[in-house]
Amino acid sequence: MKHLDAYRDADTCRRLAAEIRALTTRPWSIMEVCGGQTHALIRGGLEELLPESIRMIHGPGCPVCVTPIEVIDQAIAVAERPEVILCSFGDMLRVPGSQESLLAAKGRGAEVRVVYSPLDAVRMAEAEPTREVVFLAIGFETTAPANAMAVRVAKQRGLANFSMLVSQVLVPPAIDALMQDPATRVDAFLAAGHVASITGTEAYPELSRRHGVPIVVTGFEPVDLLAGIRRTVELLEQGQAICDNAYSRVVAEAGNLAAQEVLREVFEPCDRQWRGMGVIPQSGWQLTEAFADHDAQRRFPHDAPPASEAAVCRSGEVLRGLLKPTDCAAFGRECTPETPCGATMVSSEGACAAYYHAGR
Amino acid sequence: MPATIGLVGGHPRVACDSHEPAMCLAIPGRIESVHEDRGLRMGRVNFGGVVKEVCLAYVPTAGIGDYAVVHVGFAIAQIDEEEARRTLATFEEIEQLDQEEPQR
Repeated sequence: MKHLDAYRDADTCRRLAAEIRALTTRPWSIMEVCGGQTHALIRGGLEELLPESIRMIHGPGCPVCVTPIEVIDQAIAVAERPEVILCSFGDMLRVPGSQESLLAAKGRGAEVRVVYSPLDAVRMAEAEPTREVVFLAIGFETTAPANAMAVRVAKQRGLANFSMLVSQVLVPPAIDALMQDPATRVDAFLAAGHVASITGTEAYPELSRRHGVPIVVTGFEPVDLLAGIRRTVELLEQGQAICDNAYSRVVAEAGNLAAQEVLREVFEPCDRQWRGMGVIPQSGWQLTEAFADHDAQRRFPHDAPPASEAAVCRSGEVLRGLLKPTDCAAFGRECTPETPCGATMVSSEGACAAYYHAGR
Repeated sequence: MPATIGLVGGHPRVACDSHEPAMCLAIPGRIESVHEDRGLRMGRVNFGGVVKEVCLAYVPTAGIGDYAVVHVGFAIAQIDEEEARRTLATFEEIEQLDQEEPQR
Protein backbone atom coordinates (compact mmCIF):
# COMPACT_ATOMS: atom_id res chain seq x y z
CA MET A 1 0.00 0.00 0.00
CA LYS A 2 1.24 3.44 -0.92
CA HIS A 3 2.71 5.45 1.98
CA LEU A 4 2.89 2.31 4.11
CA ASP A 5 4.93 -0.53 2.58
CA ALA A 6 8.01 1.61 1.92
CA TYR A 7 8.08 2.49 5.62
CA ARG A 8 7.92 -1.16 6.67
CA ASP A 9 10.71 -2.32 4.40
CA ALA A 10 13.09 -4.64 6.23
CA ASP A 11 16.16 -3.70 4.16
CA THR A 12 15.69 0.01 4.79
CA CYS A 13 15.37 -0.78 8.49
CA ARG A 14 18.61 -2.74 8.53
CA ARG A 15 20.42 0.02 6.68
CA LEU A 16 19.16 2.67 9.08
CA ALA A 17 20.14 0.47 12.02
CA ALA A 18 23.65 0.09 10.56
CA GLU A 19 23.86 3.87 10.28
CA ILE A 20 22.77 4.27 13.87
CA ARG A 21 25.47 1.82 14.99
CA ALA A 22 28.08 3.72 12.99
CA LEU A 23 27.01 7.06 14.48
CA THR A 24 26.88 5.94 18.11
CA THR A 25 30.00 6.47 20.22
CA ARG A 26 28.41 6.69 23.68
CA PRO A 27 25.41 5.35 25.59
CA TRP A 28 22.24 7.37 25.05
CA SER A 29 18.77 7.10 26.56
CA ILE A 30 15.99 8.13 24.19
CA MET A 31 12.37 8.36 25.29
CA GLU A 32 9.65 7.72 22.75
CA VAL A 33 6.81 9.71 24.26
CA CYS A 34 3.96 8.00 22.44
CA GLY A 35 2.55 4.61 23.33
CA GLY A 36 1.83 3.90 19.67
CA GLN A 37 5.54 4.22 19.02
CA THR A 38 6.32 1.95 21.99
CA HIS A 39 4.16 -0.77 20.48
CA ALA A 40 5.66 -0.33 17.01
CA LEU A 41 9.19 -0.57 18.45
CA ILE A 42 8.44 -3.73 20.37
CA ARG A 43 6.19 -5.42 17.83
CA GLY A 44 8.71 -4.83 15.06
CA GLY A 45 11.61 -6.04 17.20
CA LEU A 46 13.36 -2.75 16.45
CA GLU A 47 15.14 -2.50 19.80
CA GLU A 48 17.07 -5.65 18.83
CA LEU A 49 18.38 -3.87 15.73
CA LEU A 50 19.78 -1.00 17.79
CA PRO A 51 23.25 -0.99 19.36
CA GLU A 52 23.23 -1.94 23.02
CA SER A 53 24.32 1.54 24.02
CA ILE A 54 21.04 3.01 22.76
CA ARG A 55 18.39 2.55 25.41
CA MET A 56 14.78 3.25 24.47
CA ILE A 57 12.72 4.48 27.42
CA HIS A 58 8.96 4.23 27.07
CA GLY A 59 7.07 7.40 27.87
CA PRO A 60 3.65 8.41 29.20
CA GLY A 61 1.98 8.99 25.83
CA CYS A 62 -0.78 6.46 26.25
CA PRO A 63 -4.06 8.37 26.64
CA VAL A 64 -5.87 5.41 28.16
CA CYS A 65 -3.07 4.88 30.69
CA VAL A 66 -2.94 8.44 31.98
CA THR A 67 -6.71 9.01 32.25
CA PRO A 68 -7.20 9.49 36.00
CA ILE A 69 -8.89 6.79 38.05
CA GLU A 70 -11.43 9.43 39.19
CA VAL A 71 -12.53 10.02 35.59
CA ILE A 72 -13.17 6.30 35.13
CA ASP A 73 -15.12 6.24 38.40
CA GLN A 74 -17.11 9.23 37.20
CA ALA A 75 -17.75 7.63 33.81
CA ILE A 76 -19.08 4.53 35.58
CA ALA A 77 -21.34 6.66 37.83
CA VAL A 78 -22.70 8.48 34.77
CA ALA A 79 -23.19 5.22 32.86
CA GLU A 80 -25.25 3.84 35.73
CA ARG A 81 -27.91 6.53 35.29
CA PRO A 82 -30.87 4.91 33.53
CA GLU A 83 -31.27 7.66 30.92
CA VAL A 84 -27.58 7.55 29.88
CA ILE A 85 -25.78 5.77 27.05
CA LEU A 86 -22.07 6.11 27.73
CA CYS A 87 -19.92 5.95 24.60
CA SER A 88 -16.22 5.27 24.72
CA PHE A 89 -13.26 4.18 22.62
CA GLY A 90 -12.89 0.42 22.99
CA ASP A 91 -9.62 0.35 24.86
CA MET A 92 -11.02 2.32 27.81
CA LEU A 93 -13.46 -0.42 28.79
CA ARG A 94 -11.11 -2.75 30.61
CA VAL A 95 -9.17 -0.04 32.48
CA PRO A 96 -9.61 -0.53 36.22
CA GLY A 97 -11.24 2.31 38.16
CA SER A 98 -11.04 2.37 41.94
CA GLN A 99 -13.68 -0.39 42.26
CA GLU A 100 -14.25 -1.78 38.79
CA SER A 101 -13.96 -1.11 35.06
CA LEU A 102 -16.54 0.21 32.59
CA LEU A 103 -16.74 -3.34 31.24
CA ALA A 104 -17.74 -4.66 34.66
CA ALA A 105 -20.33 -1.87 34.99
CA LYS A 106 -21.66 -2.85 31.55
CA GLY A 107 -21.92 -6.43 32.78
CA ARG A 108 -24.09 -5.19 35.65
CA GLY A 109 -26.46 -3.53 33.20
CA ALA A 110 -25.04 -0.05 32.63
CA GLU A 111 -25.44 1.06 29.00
CA VAL A 112 -21.86 1.33 27.72
CA ARG A 113 -21.22 1.29 23.98
CA VAL A 114 -17.95 1.26 22.06
CA VAL A 115 -17.58 3.74 19.23
CA TYR A 116 -14.88 3.95 16.57
CA SER A 117 -15.32 7.68 15.98
CA PRO A 118 -16.74 10.43 18.21
CA LEU A 119 -19.13 11.23 15.35
CA ASP A 120 -20.71 7.80 15.93
CA ALA A 121 -21.77 9.07 19.37
CA VAL A 122 -23.31 12.17 17.80
CA ARG A 123 -25.28 9.97 15.38
CA MET A 124 -26.44 7.92 18.35
CA ALA A 125 -27.73 11.08 20.07
CA GLU A 126 -29.67 11.91 16.89
CA ALA A 127 -31.11 8.43 16.61
CA GLU A 128 -32.11 8.16 20.28
CA PRO A 129 -33.49 11.57 21.27
CA THR A 130 -35.00 10.27 24.52
CA ARG A 131 -31.63 9.11 25.84
CA GLU A 132 -28.67 11.11 27.15
CA VAL A 133 -25.60 10.20 25.10
CA VAL A 134 -22.36 10.91 26.97
CA PHE A 135 -19.07 10.52 25.12
CA LEU A 136 -15.92 9.86 27.16
CA ALA A 137 -13.60 12.26 25.35
CA ILE A 138 -10.07 11.23 26.21
CA GLY A 139 -6.90 11.59 24.20
CA PHE A 140 -3.91 13.68 23.29
CA GLU A 141 -3.72 16.46 20.71
CA THR A 142 -4.16 13.85 17.95
CA THR A 143 -7.67 12.94 19.08
CA ALA A 144 -8.72 16.39 20.30
CA PRO A 145 -9.82 17.71 16.87
CA ALA A 146 -12.15 14.72 16.39
CA ASN A 147 -13.64 15.14 19.86
CA ALA A 148 -13.93 18.90 19.36
CA MET A 149 -15.73 18.46 16.05
CA ALA A 150 -18.18 16.00 17.60
CA VAL A 151 -19.37 18.46 20.25
CA ARG A 152 -19.38 21.32 17.75
CA VAL A 153 -21.56 19.34 15.34
CA ALA A 154 -23.88 18.31 18.20
CA LYS A 155 -24.29 21.94 19.20
CA GLN A 156 -24.94 23.04 15.60
CA ARG A 157 -27.57 20.33 15.19
CA GLY A 158 -29.25 21.31 18.46
CA LEU A 159 -28.64 17.94 20.11
CA ALA A 160 -29.26 18.85 23.75
CA ASN A 161 -28.94 15.15 24.66
CA PHE A 162 -25.25 14.94 23.66
CA SER A 163 -22.50 15.73 26.13
CA MET A 164 -18.83 14.91 26.65
CA LEU A 165 -16.89 13.87 29.72
CA VAL A 166 -13.57 15.47 28.78
CA SER A 167 -10.14 14.29 29.89
CA GLN A 168 -7.88 15.69 27.18
CA VAL A 169 -4.12 15.80 27.77
CA LEU A 170 -1.21 17.57 26.08
CA VAL A 171 2.28 16.31 25.25
CA PRO A 172 4.62 19.33 25.68
CA PRO A 173 3.68 19.98 29.36
CA ALA A 174 4.31 16.27 30.07
CA ILE A 175 7.79 16.43 28.53
CA ASP A 176 8.42 19.53 30.61
CA ALA A 177 7.22 17.81 33.81
CA LEU A 178 9.34 14.72 33.12
CA MET A 179 12.46 16.81 32.58
CA GLN A 180 11.85 18.72 35.81
CA ASP A 181 11.81 15.45 37.74
CA PRO A 182 15.35 14.78 38.98
CA ALA A 183 14.74 11.02 38.71
CA THR A 184 14.35 11.25 34.92
CA ARG A 185 17.31 10.01 32.90
CA VAL A 186 16.52 10.96 29.34
CA ASP A 187 18.99 12.41 26.81
CA ALA A 188 16.54 13.01 23.99
CA PHE A 189 12.93 12.60 22.93
CA LEU A 190 11.15 11.13 19.95
CA ALA A 191 8.01 13.25 19.65
CA ALA A 192 4.82 11.76 18.26
CA GLY A 193 4.24 12.79 14.68
CA HIS A 194 0.47 12.70 14.79
CA VAL A 195 0.37 15.06 17.76
CA ALA A 196 2.66 17.42 15.87
CA SER A 197 0.59 17.12 12.70
CA ILE A 198 -2.12 18.94 14.63
CA THR A 199 -0.17 21.39 16.77
CA GLY A 200 2.88 21.90 14.58
CA THR A 201 6.37 21.80 16.03
CA GLU A 202 6.27 25.26 17.62
CA ALA A 203 6.36 24.10 21.25
CA TYR A 204 9.45 21.91 20.90
CA PRO A 205 12.46 24.16 20.14
CA GLU A 206 11.94 25.99 23.44
CA LEU A 207 11.71 22.69 25.36
CA SER A 208 14.88 21.46 23.62
CA ARG A 209 16.79 24.59 24.60
CA ARG A 210 15.53 24.78 28.17
CA HIS A 211 16.25 21.15 29.00
CA GLY A 212 19.23 20.63 26.70
CA VAL A 213 17.64 17.70 24.87
CA PRO A 214 17.18 17.07 21.16
CA ILE A 215 13.55 16.42 20.20
CA VAL A 216 12.87 14.68 16.89
CA VAL A 217 9.33 14.43 15.55
CA THR A 218 8.71 11.14 13.80
CA GLY A 219 6.08 8.66 12.66
CA PHE A 220 4.94 5.22 13.71
CA GLU A 221 6.16 2.85 11.04
CA PRO A 222 9.45 0.96 11.63
CA VAL A 223 11.38 2.98 9.04
CA ASP A 224 10.05 6.25 10.45
CA LEU A 225 11.05 5.25 13.97
CA LEU A 226 14.56 4.23 12.96
CA ALA A 227 14.99 7.35 10.82
CA GLY A 228 13.89 9.39 13.85
CA ILE A 229 16.32 7.56 16.12
CA ARG A 230 19.10 8.00 13.58
CA ARG A 231 18.54 11.77 13.48
CA THR A 232 18.30 11.87 17.29
CA VAL A 233 21.63 10.06 17.69
CA GLU A 234 23.20 12.39 15.14
CA LEU A 235 22.04 15.44 17.14
CA LEU A 236 23.16 13.86 20.44
CA GLU A 237 26.60 13.05 19.09
CA GLN A 238 26.94 16.61 17.74
CA GLY A 239 25.75 18.06 21.06
CA GLN A 240 22.87 19.89 19.41
CA ALA A 241 19.80 20.39 21.60
CA ILE A 242 17.40 21.33 18.84
CA CYS A 243 14.09 20.14 17.47
CA ASP A 244 13.96 18.46 14.07
CA ASN A 245 11.19 16.97 11.96
CA ALA A 246 11.77 13.47 10.55
CA TYR A 247 8.12 13.10 9.47
CA SER A 248 7.80 15.94 6.99
CA ARG A 249 5.36 14.11 4.71
CA VAL A 250 2.73 14.39 7.47
CA VAL A 251 3.90 17.16 9.82
CA ALA A 252 3.97 20.77 8.66
CA GLU A 253 5.81 23.20 10.94
CA ALA A 254 2.63 25.21 11.54
CA GLY A 255 0.49 22.11 12.07
CA ASN A 256 -3.11 21.75 10.95
CA LEU A 257 -4.60 25.25 10.92
CA ALA A 258 -8.19 24.12 10.29
CA ALA A 259 -8.00 21.83 13.34
CA GLN A 260 -6.36 24.51 15.49
CA GLU A 261 -9.21 26.90 14.73
CA VAL A 262 -11.83 24.42 15.94
CA LEU A 263 -9.72 23.49 18.98
CA ARG A 264 -9.52 27.16 20.02
CA GLU A 265 -13.27 27.47 19.73
CA VAL A 266 -14.11 24.32 21.71
CA PHE A 267 -11.32 23.84 24.26
CA GLU A 268 -9.32 25.94 26.70
CA PRO A 269 -6.20 24.92 28.67
CA CYS A 270 -6.56 23.63 32.22
CA ASP A 271 -4.52 21.85 34.88
CA ARG A 272 -4.93 18.09 34.54
CA GLN A 273 -4.35 15.08 36.73
CA TRP A 274 -2.33 12.31 35.02
CA ARG A 275 -2.69 8.78 36.28
CA GLY A 276 0.69 7.79 37.70
CA MET A 277 2.15 11.28 37.36
CA GLY A 278 -0.03 13.63 39.43
CA VAL A 279 -1.29 17.07 38.47
CA ILE A 280 0.62 18.75 35.65
CA PRO A 281 -0.15 22.48 35.27
CA GLN A 282 -1.85 23.52 32.02
CA SER A 283 -1.48 20.00 30.65
CA GLY A 284 -5.05 19.47 29.53
CA TRP A 285 -8.00 20.91 27.71
CA GLN A 286 -11.54 21.44 28.98
CA LEU A 287 -14.64 22.67 27.18
CA THR A 288 -15.04 26.43 26.88
CA GLU A 289 -18.03 28.23 28.40
CA ALA A 290 -19.75 28.24 24.99
CA PHE A 291 -20.04 24.44 25.26
CA ALA A 292 -21.10 24.32 28.92
CA ASP A 293 -24.47 22.80 27.98
CA HIS A 294 -22.62 19.84 26.46
CA ASP A 295 -20.21 19.38 29.36
CA ALA A 296 -20.99 16.12 31.15
CA GLN A 297 -18.84 17.25 34.07
CA ARG A 298 -21.37 20.01 34.74
CA ARG A 299 -24.49 18.12 33.72
CA PHE A 300 -23.82 15.03 35.78
CA PRO A 301 -21.81 16.31 38.75
CA HIS A 302 -20.09 13.54 40.65
CA ASP A 303 -17.90 13.98 43.68
CA ALA A 304 -15.44 11.21 43.02
CA PRO A 305 -13.47 10.58 46.18
CA PRO A 306 -9.73 10.59 45.54
CA ALA A 307 -8.76 7.07 44.52
CA SER A 308 -5.46 5.30 44.50
CA GLU A 309 -3.86 2.63 42.35
CA ALA A 310 -3.85 -1.03 43.35
CA ALA A 311 -0.99 -1.34 45.84
CA VAL A 312 0.84 -3.88 43.68
CA CYS A 313 0.74 -1.71 40.55
CA ARG A 314 3.85 0.29 39.60
CA SER A 315 2.43 1.80 36.41
CA GLY A 316 3.33 5.30 37.60
CA GLU A 317 7.02 4.42 37.42
CA VAL A 318 6.52 2.67 34.07
CA LEU A 319 4.80 5.78 32.66
CA ARG A 320 7.65 8.01 33.78
CA GLY A 321 10.22 5.72 32.20
CA LEU A 322 11.73 4.77 35.58
CA LEU A 323 10.80 1.08 35.44
CA LYS A 324 10.69 -1.52 32.67
CA PRO A 325 7.38 -3.42 32.75
CA THR A 326 9.21 -6.71 33.24
CA ASP A 327 10.86 -5.36 36.41
CA CYS A 328 7.45 -5.13 38.12
CA ALA A 329 6.78 -8.12 40.40
CA ALA A 330 3.14 -8.32 39.28
CA PHE A 331 3.95 -8.39 35.54
CA GLY A 332 2.64 -11.54 33.89
CA ARG A 333 1.64 -12.99 37.25
CA GLU A 334 -1.39 -11.32 38.87
CA CYS A 335 -1.26 -8.60 36.20
CA THR A 336 -2.12 -9.65 32.61
CA PRO A 337 -4.24 -8.03 29.88
CA GLU A 338 -7.16 -10.22 31.01
CA THR A 339 -6.78 -9.27 34.69
CA PRO A 340 -4.92 -5.94 34.60
CA CYS A 341 -3.81 -4.26 37.84
CA GLY A 342 -3.14 -0.99 36.07
CA ALA A 343 -3.92 0.87 32.88
CA THR A 344 -0.54 0.26 31.23
CA MET A 345 -1.45 -3.45 30.98
CA VAL A 346 -4.80 -2.69 29.36
CA SER A 347 -4.35 -0.25 26.59
CA SER A 348 -3.17 -1.29 23.19
CA GLU A 349 -0.65 1.50 23.70
CA GLY A 350 0.45 0.73 27.24
CA ALA A 351 4.06 -0.35 27.71
CA CYS A 352 3.13 -3.33 29.92
CA ALA A 353 0.65 -4.68 27.35
CA ALA A 354 3.26 -4.20 24.61
CA TYR A 355 5.81 -6.28 26.54
CA TYR A 356 3.23 -8.91 27.44
CA HIS A 357 2.04 -9.38 23.85
CA ALA A 358 5.63 -9.56 22.60
CA GLY A 359 6.22 -12.40 25.04
CA ARG A 360 8.87 -10.59 27.05
CA MET B 1 4.85 -8.62 -1.47
CA PRO B 2 7.74 -6.61 -0.12
CA ALA B 3 9.42 -7.90 3.00
CA THR B 4 8.06 -6.08 6.01
CA ILE B 5 9.87 -5.41 9.23
CA GLY B 6 7.10 -7.08 11.19
CA LEU B 7 8.98 -10.27 10.41
CA VAL B 8 12.11 -9.14 12.23
CA GLY B 9 10.59 -9.80 15.62
CA GLY B 10 8.88 -12.96 14.44
CA HIS B 11 5.45 -11.35 14.66
CA PRO B 12 4.28 -10.57 11.14
CA ARG B 13 1.36 -8.33 11.98
CA VAL B 14 -0.13 -5.27 10.42
CA ALA B 15 -0.90 -2.22 12.47
CA CYS B 16 -4.67 -2.51 12.23
CA ASP B 17 -5.26 -6.12 13.24
CA SER B 18 -5.82 -5.46 16.94
CA HIS B 19 -9.18 -6.75 18.17
CA GLU B 20 -9.63 -3.55 20.13
CA PRO B 21 -8.99 -0.51 17.95
CA ALA B 22 -6.03 1.47 19.25
CA MET B 23 -7.33 4.96 19.70
CA CYS B 24 -4.04 6.62 18.84
CA LEU B 25 -3.60 4.70 15.64
CA ALA B 26 -3.61 6.81 12.50
CA ILE B 27 -3.21 5.23 9.09
CA PRO B 28 -2.88 6.56 5.55
CA GLY B 29 -5.66 6.08 3.05
CA ARG B 30 -6.63 7.32 -0.41
CA ILE B 31 -9.59 9.67 -0.75
CA GLU B 32 -12.07 8.14 -3.22
CA SER B 33 -14.95 10.59 -2.99
CA VAL B 34 -15.95 13.79 -1.23
CA HIS B 35 -19.41 14.89 -0.11
CA GLU B 36 -21.12 17.18 2.37
CA ASP B 37 -23.31 16.08 5.25
CA ARG B 38 -25.21 19.09 6.60
CA GLY B 39 -22.24 21.38 6.19
CA LEU B 40 -19.64 18.84 7.33
CA ARG B 41 -17.00 17.84 4.75
CA MET B 42 -17.02 14.04 4.53
CA GLY B 43 -15.55 11.47 2.16
CA ARG B 44 -14.91 7.82 1.41
CA VAL B 45 -11.33 6.76 2.11
CA ASN B 46 -9.72 3.53 0.93
CA PHE B 47 -7.30 1.76 3.27
CA GLY B 48 -5.77 -0.97 1.14
CA GLY B 49 -9.18 -2.24 0.04
CA VAL B 50 -11.25 -1.35 3.11
CA VAL B 51 -13.34 1.76 2.44
CA LYS B 52 -14.57 3.89 5.31
CA GLU B 53 -16.59 7.06 5.75
CA VAL B 54 -14.24 9.74 7.09
CA CYS B 55 -14.61 13.39 8.11
CA LEU B 56 -12.49 15.57 5.81
CA ALA B 57 -13.15 18.91 7.54
CA TYR B 58 -9.53 19.15 8.69
CA VAL B 59 -8.03 18.56 5.24
CA PRO B 60 -9.96 21.25 3.35
CA THR B 61 -7.69 21.21 0.29
CA ALA B 62 -7.42 17.42 -0.08
CA GLY B 63 -9.36 15.96 -2.99
CA ILE B 64 -9.99 12.67 -4.76
CA GLY B 65 -6.75 10.71 -5.24
CA ASP B 66 -4.95 12.48 -2.39
CA TYR B 67 -3.71 10.51 0.59
CA ALA B 68 -4.55 11.50 4.16
CA VAL B 69 -3.69 10.16 7.59
CA VAL B 70 -6.89 9.12 9.35
CA HIS B 71 -7.48 8.84 13.09
CA VAL B 72 -10.78 7.89 14.80
CA GLY B 73 -12.76 8.69 11.66
CA PHE B 74 -11.08 12.01 10.92
CA ALA B 75 -8.45 12.88 8.33
CA ILE B 76 -5.89 14.81 10.40
CA ALA B 77 -3.23 15.50 7.77
CA GLN B 78 -2.88 15.34 4.02
CA ILE B 79 0.27 13.47 2.99
CA ASP B 80 2.73 15.75 1.23
CA GLU B 81 3.80 13.73 -1.82
CA GLU B 82 6.86 15.88 -2.47
CA GLU B 83 8.12 15.45 1.11
CA ALA B 84 7.42 11.70 0.91
CA ARG B 85 9.52 11.45 -2.26
CA ARG B 86 12.31 13.43 -0.63
CA THR B 87 12.30 11.22 2.49
CA LEU B 88 12.41 8.00 0.46
CA ALA B 89 15.22 9.43 -1.67
CA THR B 90 17.35 10.02 1.46
CA PHE B 91 16.94 6.34 2.36
CA GLU B 92 18.21 5.39 -1.07
CA GLU B 93 21.23 7.62 -0.54
CA ILE B 94 22.05 5.65 2.59
CA GLU B 95 21.95 2.48 0.51
CA GLN B 96 24.37 3.93 -2.02
CA LEU B 97 26.74 5.06 0.74
CA ASP B 98 26.53 1.53 2.15
CA GLN B 99 27.57 0.02 -1.15
CA GLU B 100 30.43 2.46 -1.65
CA GLU B 101 31.81 1.87 1.83
CA PRO B 102 33.82 -1.35 1.21
CA GLN B 103 35.78 0.23 -1.64
CA ARG B 104 37.17 3.03 0.52
